[in-house]
Amino acid sequence: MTRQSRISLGRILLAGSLSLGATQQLLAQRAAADSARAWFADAKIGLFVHWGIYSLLADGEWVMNNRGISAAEYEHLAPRFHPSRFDARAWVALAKRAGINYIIMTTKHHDGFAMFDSKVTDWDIVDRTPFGRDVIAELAEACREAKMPLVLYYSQLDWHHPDFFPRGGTGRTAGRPEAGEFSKYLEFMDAQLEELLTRYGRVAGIWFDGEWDNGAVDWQLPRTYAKIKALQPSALIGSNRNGLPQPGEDFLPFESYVRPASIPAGNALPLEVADKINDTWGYRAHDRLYKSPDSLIRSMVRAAGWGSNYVANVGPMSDGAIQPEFVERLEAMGTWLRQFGSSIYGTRAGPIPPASWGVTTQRNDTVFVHLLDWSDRLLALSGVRAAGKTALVMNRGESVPLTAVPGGVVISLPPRQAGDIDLIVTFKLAQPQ
Amino acid sequence: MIRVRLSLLMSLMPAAIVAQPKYQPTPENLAARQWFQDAKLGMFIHWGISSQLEDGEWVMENKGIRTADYERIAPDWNPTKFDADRWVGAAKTAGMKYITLITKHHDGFALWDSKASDWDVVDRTKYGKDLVRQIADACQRQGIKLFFYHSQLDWHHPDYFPLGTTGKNSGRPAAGSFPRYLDYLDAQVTELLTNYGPIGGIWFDGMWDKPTADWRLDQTYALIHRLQPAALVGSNHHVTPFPGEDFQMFERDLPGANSAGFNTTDISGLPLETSQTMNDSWGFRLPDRAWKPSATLIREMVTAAGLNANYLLNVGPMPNGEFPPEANKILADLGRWTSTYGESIYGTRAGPIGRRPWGVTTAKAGRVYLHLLDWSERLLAIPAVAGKVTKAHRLSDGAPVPFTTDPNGLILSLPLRAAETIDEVIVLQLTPGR
Repeated sequence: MTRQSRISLGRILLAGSLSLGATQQLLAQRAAADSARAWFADAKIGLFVHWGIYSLLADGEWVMNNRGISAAEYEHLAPRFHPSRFDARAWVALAKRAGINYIIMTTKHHDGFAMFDSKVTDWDIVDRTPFGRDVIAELAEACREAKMPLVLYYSQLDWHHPDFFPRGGTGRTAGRPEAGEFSKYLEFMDAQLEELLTRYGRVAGIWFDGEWDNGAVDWQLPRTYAKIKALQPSALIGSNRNGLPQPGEDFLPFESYVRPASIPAGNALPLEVADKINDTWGYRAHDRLYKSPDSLIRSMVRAAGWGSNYVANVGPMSDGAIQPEFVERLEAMGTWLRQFGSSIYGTRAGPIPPASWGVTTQRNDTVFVHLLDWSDRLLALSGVRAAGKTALVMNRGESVPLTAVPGGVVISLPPRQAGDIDLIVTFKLAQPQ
Repeated sequence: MIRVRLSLLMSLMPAAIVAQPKYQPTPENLAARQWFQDAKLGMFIHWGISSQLEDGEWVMENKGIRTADYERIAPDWNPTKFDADRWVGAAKTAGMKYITLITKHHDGFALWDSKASDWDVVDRTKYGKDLVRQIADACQRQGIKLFFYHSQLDWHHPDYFPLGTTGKNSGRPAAGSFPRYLDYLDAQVTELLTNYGPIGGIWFDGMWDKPTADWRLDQTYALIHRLQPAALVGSNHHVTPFPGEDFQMFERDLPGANSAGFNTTDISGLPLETSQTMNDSWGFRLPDRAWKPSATLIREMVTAAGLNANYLLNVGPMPNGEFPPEANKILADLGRWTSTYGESIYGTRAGPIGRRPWGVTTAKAGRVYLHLLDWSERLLAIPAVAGKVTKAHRLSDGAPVPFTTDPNGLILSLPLRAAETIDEVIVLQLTPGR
């Protein structure tokens, strides 16, 4: 249990305002969240899926706002949406091949369109599209079959709902009347979250986004978060607000890379980096800025060096298929992880902070030194003591000499070869004296 | 200095270039090259009547101002705050060993009293004094070398015809004799090399505008080497140097890099020079607030030294003749750095260890300087260098740096690095051997 949770639980107990049953329920929720956080930090690699009716316009998930399309005009998209190649099992199988341990799926993005059969609105895939299938249900089922945990992305920001008022920084061109009750919108949001947390089996987490749109309204986070925990105590909560975590949140998301300045002192929450494979989250036909497989793998290793998860994003096309450039890169990640995954999965940040030359990860007393940019034959590591006199170069399967020196260890490395995306050296730490 | 170039046309350039095919640098020239490489740090000065419009030195082209209209900004120019000794003093205090001054930019306007044209500061402005003269005299007084930037491209001269890729909006008649323009260019270069004392070199720019034209480089380069054999010739054409050139320059890039998008990645055996802006502009521009942190510029200068290149840092003075205050602050920071660490760059060449994640190395007789630009750990292993390392110390305070040797290199136990350190310089003293 983290220090933060002990303190707040203590406060609750001291207040004495809760019945014994309620206290036990809270304790159970804490325990569930703690073990879920540990699972999350071990899982390390995820797949983000940004998919909605915006994929029809092939111009990213922000197309409605970027082009100033009104809500009424945007609604014309729904009757065109018939993703005949959508196959949830194929997505999950791809994730498996990529070495991925959980999937994050957009259930509703900023356009407010629910990709599930919501009963609190008809602005959803079942009621408005000829496709008529609940893709969240299908994905949840495919994940269950494959034992793939599913995290649900939910946009708090809504460009379509009339009660999303007052407006924040976006959604001002949707043509909605300048009136509405924000509290009603929040009730709508809670109702949708309840649908998501009661009808699709076990949900590994809720990934919030959009709070940043309006800093001047009361989002009533404690109420929403409490509701989530009451429905599924092990569902992890994270919010993409690019700021400090709020009470009740279980992980700290970053876009693209870890920003150390945004990690609060003494942070105990797991970190997560979400990264685009090209330059867009939702499908954009003309985005050719694909990162190389090597570069994606290096970003993943760098994230692990911060103790962070790494989530690669795909924006499936309007027909439901994932474009081949993404598939190719995810499979390259999988190939790499099958060989070197033991230096990533289940690890935490290693003893040496990330630096220009590379990073370190650690599992129990085993350290993995990831040399991302180091070609010299000697490597000195400060402030560590090793249990033995050799280290293992994972890329070669060979042992190399490791010498204790005052203040650290020195490792003799083999020559770096052209294909070494990440030269990994592993050794065991000495037991603390 | 330019913004957009056609790299396709660039690649055609060498075929049309004659240059000085059998060029043999004189001993004075070779000695000047050594001096140049020892100097390491220079100040670029982009100033002219374009500064009046406070929109960069390309304003005439970028705004499509016709020559006749552009001429109207000349009479009013009166840089009353200009003080050549202050400029030169600022360069010296910053640790700069030479100044590269714009004498004529693409707008064709001469900052000296040219006899070949009246399109100059003396004949056309209220100010009416020879700026090049004042700066040359101040440089002489203060013992700093002066290089002349000179634009081969000319948006003003009627004989700059046929036009290249720029200068098409200047409203000049579509006629003119390019050889006559080159005669004019040679005449102006002759003025600059005969009337202002010993000159460090000529820094050409603008050939990229007409990559396939016959620029008569052979004639111009031979003229320069005849008038002042020690004057170094360089040209910002972004391709491999031509015979007759004495140094190679890289505009806003380190040698071998091409982040600018128009630079060659070919590195010649000539002395090298990286030029860089303090913000995003060469000539003064309001508002350009993209001032780079001094530490960023110093680290790039050190990296350039580690790659065997000089660093030519630009100032774009304001129309009144003063340096922008932000530039003065950067120059002061640079001066503080060079006064402590100058030994590790002046007179050095690229060190025995190439660029590394932690930084670069420089070297001179018996000493290797490790420039730890990005290393906070207490231990550092470096590859073996030729010779025997006898001592190591930190340059800033002389603190000894314990080390152990290994067949594959050296393991250093570094002192604690202060958080604000820009470049932790460790000096290795060597005796020759092995």
